Amino acid sequence: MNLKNKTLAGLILTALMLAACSPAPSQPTSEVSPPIVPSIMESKVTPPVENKLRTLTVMTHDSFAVSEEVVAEFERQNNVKVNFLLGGDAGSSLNRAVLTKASPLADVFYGIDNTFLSRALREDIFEAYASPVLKDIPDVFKLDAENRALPVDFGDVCINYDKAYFKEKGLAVPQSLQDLVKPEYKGLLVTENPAVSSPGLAFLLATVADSGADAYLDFWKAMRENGVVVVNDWSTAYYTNFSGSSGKGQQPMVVSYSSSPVAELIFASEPLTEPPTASITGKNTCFRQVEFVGILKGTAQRALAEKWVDFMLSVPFQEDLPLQMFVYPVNSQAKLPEEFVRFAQISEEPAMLSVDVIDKNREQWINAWDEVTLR
Amino acid sequence: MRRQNGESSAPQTNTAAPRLPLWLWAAPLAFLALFFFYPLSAVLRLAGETALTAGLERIAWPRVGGALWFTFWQASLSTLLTLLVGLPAAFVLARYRFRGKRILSALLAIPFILPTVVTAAGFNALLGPNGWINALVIRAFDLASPPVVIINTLSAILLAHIFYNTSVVIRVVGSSWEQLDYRLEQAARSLGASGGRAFLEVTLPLLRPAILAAALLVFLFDFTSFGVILLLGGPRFTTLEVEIYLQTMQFLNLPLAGLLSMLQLACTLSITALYLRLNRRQPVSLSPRVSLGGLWTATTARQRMLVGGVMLGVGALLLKPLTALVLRSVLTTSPTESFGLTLDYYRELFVNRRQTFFYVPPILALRNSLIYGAVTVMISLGLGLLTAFALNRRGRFERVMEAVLMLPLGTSAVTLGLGFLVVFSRPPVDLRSAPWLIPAAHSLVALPFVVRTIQPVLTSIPPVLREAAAVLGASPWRVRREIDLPIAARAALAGAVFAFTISLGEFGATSFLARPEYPTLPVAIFRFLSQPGGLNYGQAMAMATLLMAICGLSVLLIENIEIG
Amino acid sequence: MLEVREIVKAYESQPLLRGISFSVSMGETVCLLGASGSGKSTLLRIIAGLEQPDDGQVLWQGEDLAAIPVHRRQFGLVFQDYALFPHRSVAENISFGLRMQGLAREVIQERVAAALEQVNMKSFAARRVTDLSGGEQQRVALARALAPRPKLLMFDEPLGALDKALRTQLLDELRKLLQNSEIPAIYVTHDQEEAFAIADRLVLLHEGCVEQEGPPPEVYARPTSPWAARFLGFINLLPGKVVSSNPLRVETALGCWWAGNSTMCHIPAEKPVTLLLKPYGALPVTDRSGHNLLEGVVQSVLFRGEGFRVDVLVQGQEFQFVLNQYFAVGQTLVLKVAPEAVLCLGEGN
Repeated sequence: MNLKNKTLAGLILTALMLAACSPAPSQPTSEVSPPIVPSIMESKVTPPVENKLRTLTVMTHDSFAVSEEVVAEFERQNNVKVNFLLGGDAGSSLNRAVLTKASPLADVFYGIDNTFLSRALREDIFEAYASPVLKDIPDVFKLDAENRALPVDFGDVCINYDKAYFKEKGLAVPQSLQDLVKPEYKGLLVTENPAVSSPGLAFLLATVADSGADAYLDFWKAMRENGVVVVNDWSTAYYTNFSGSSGKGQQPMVVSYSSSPVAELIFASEPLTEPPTASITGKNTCFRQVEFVGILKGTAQRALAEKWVDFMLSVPFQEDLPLQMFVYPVNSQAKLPEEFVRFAQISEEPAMLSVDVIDKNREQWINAWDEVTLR
Repeated sequence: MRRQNGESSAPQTNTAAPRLPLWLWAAPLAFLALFFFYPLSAVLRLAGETALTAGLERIAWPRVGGALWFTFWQASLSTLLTLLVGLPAAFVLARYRFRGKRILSALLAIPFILPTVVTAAGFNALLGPNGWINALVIRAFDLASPPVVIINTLSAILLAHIFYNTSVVIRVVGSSWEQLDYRLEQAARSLGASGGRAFLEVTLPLLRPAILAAALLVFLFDFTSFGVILLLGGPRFTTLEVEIYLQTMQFLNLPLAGLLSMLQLACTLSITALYLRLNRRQPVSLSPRVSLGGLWTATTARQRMLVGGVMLGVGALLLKPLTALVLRSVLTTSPTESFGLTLDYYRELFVNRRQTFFYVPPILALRNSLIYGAVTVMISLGLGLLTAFALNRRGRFERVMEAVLMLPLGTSAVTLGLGFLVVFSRPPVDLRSAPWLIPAAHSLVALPFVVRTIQPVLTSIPPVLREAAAVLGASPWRVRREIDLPIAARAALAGAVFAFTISLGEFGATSFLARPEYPTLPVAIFRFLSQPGGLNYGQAMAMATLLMAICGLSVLLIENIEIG
Repeated sequence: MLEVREIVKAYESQPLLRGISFSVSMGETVCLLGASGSGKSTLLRIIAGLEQPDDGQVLWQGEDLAAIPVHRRQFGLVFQDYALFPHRSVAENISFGLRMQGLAREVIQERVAAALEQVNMKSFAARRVTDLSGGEQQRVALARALAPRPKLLMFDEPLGALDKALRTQLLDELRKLLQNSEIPAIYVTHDQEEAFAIADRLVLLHEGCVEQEGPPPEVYARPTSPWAARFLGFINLLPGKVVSSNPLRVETALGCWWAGNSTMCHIPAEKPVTLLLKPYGALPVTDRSGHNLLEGVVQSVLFRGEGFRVDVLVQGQEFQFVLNQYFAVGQTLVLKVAPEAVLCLGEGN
């Protein structure tokens, strides 16, 4: 290395060190919340507080989102630091919890839905907890009688359509799943592989509920002949194939969430007056997913974990849910934000299947679907 | 090569000169044991235990066979095609001097780091049904439907593998080619060999070790390919890795996942063994051409065609999807289909509009990515140098170790990630409080690359140079420092670039192990892409552009550290 | 100073060195001369410490070097292909050994300059070694070996790759350099002219043994075996059988020969021996009677300044003599060789 380049290398190194040592970028000062991102250095030099700062670890899927101030409020009230372990979708994050149950990584697990609930209960990863807040939650969401898994939110997996496309072509929007096999909708729907994707699985379950366990394969055969497009994951379906998204794809219908149109409005790159997409919310066209939280077996902080569960079910958190994760609160006391009231659609008659039926047949349904639709 | 008479070719093995002790292996072995074998065996044990209680009836054998077959042939085909694209590019970059070469060579490193979601977006913007190519053709010929159908076909898989791994070929073969004395080829030409003949009979055999090494790396990468198959191949294609992911993360079918992992390991071992066998011929010692002088300038029309053609072709293949991404990050899309230029997405990156807890400030993601990258370079370069030195002694143990070293590259990331979760879930190594586990995991993948780039250069150093140094009073360690290190420095830099880019682009392990406090750029991109909305999409593209820029700049910086 | 004792070395169970002993004293240049494959390079590597002997010792001032690794022996070695460090400049190559000794920067600079001066390469200090010609590389290699002031200098076929004119010139310079220094040196070559030019003493190696040892004139005058004679460039060898030992008479296929010299003190009758006929000892005669006579046809004549080199074919065997008069090719010639020019080598062919 000659001198000039020694200097260069030195500069790079210095820059890296500086980057490593500089405190986390400061938050906008107007916010009252503490810095959310403790840097590595910081955590080392934190002086011991009188009553030691406890940590609560929450394991969840990677779509989990929450407002800073909501978490900060909980942390302040309970003098605790909340850590989140994110990763995987609904199914795989649950499996992480199952596979590490011998030495659990977290105190609380959130994000398991009704399509996987039975697996969690069978694997016995939760401790029962009858939260007092449950009284504000309609019974229809309480799918575990023993209260090992407590409902937090729900959402409908629905077909979204590109309003402009249907208007331009003068095409009627399909009203039921059975409409989808009509020739005028040939090649217009993209859905996700249920083996890989959570909305894909939900949509498969909707078709099972709609056609019946013995006839759903015929439906899919017809769908295949009618050119249904299957991709593996939601991002590809939505951003690559769907014509209503920024990806400007080929299919004007996509399997997504009933709340996606609201998200399109809120995250529009230019201000919009109404969403460019909408959901089809006919009978059985949507599958209702309910998400649960549970206290992981073996937690050393049962009391704190209970507090967190109560917190997730209570109004502040519940009201934060819609605009963070685009799901609906289960707590009947929680008010919906304005955008949701105006534009979010909810299915009056969503498809539902009992968790036990789902659990018993999930793998077999997926495999049979795979044979019929893909091979 | 330059032996005058029989005398000096008297066997020169076991020279008493710079023999290094066996404990060179200690650090690399400890590293592998802790971060590879321990987690892996934990998962396999878990799978075994489950199999004992649950039985094996959930194993669908034909499916396993199908996945295995497809995995093999798509990897073989991908590797072949990648070599076909990469070798001409390696040649031109190693031999010719031309304007913009440094920038181009840094740009060519970028595809390697892109998270698959981003690549998929780039491919789609370019080749998708509404991509530019189709749009152009439709407009030009007034067609009703897009003529190019690539997404969710085998072609997409192959194309993406070429896209990702061409830079591996360029780097591994290129650094060898640069060191190759071009006078050898000229000698062959003067003896009456045509250009092609001289290449086939002189250059190719001398490059053989490097080409084999590159082929092995690319093959293993393609063999364990996951994101590309899932996102670009679509649901019709299943490789072992995809199947392992499905069985582990979706169906919780551990016995099958364990079986598949073992199958994959066995394949990796056999492939590596085959490679080592092919490569067994004693490597020829070449006097390394350390000075980088002697580069050609394209003067004749034919040479210009060659340089220009190859660079344009490879550039188009590798850089166009990147350009598509960059453009997407500055174009607004609205329902009215009118496109406008904007910097909103970049501006928006710096704003936590919804005050979400998981907001990732770009500077923070950047900082984390750079730190992880730097630590990965340090770990893998340190261990890689030790390993390459240790491998320079050719014994039975070394041959076995050479195969063992490649294992992490050919091992399921899902299985390994799971292993990390299982074994590092309690003190002393608790992944919840040990962010350095991430660079450690990255180093596991980077190490084989570093070793494969450094080791061929070390073996090509004539032993007599080390002997000369020893006679002049250099101790074995000093010999390494004064002779091996400086000569291998260029290769070490290439290895460093690999390590850095691997770390920069890695998403799987990071998302698996990372705490939200330490997000990296790919993690941030992924978060944006998992929610609907034009702004989210635009921000993902902006973040991806940032990632690419950082990668290009870093590679430029690393490569311009001059030696000697 | 240096003593090599009974060195034995085998490669893959093929014996290469079978008990070699010799010594080098202060200021002396010893030349190891032998054919390819005679193990002379290996011997050098053993002395340098680059290889371990299977048996035997290398001693420096009486101290066994076995436990001293190569880098602590402070011997200099000039390799066959020079082994210059391609990643370092000329000056950096030369300073390498000095840096290893941990000398001060100024001292190093001084000594590098001196070494460059010694080999007439002063202006090359900053050059890349890869840009140098063969002769220049050789000089750098020499300077590199000299600069650390080694206790012993070794050369392994240092001029092998160079053309003849350059070789002669460098050899000359090298000889002066070695004569002017007190450093003992071992010089390995397969070329007897090089060996004669540079050696104070020759050690002839053959099939892993020391065949003969001594100052060049002595060795040249009295090779001890047909092999040595042939290796030193003699071709007039004649096998025969001893008839009487005092005076020495030998019966050969080309008649009876009187030999004036012998490499042995006592030669029993009937012993098979080989006669060496020195090329300068022959005179053309007309008388075809008596002993020490050769009659043959002139094959070629070459004017060599000091005389004519004449190749004569005698009963199918070629002989070569230097005569002071010209003969035409094809002419029949009778030569008488003086007994003083006939050396009886103590063993059969």
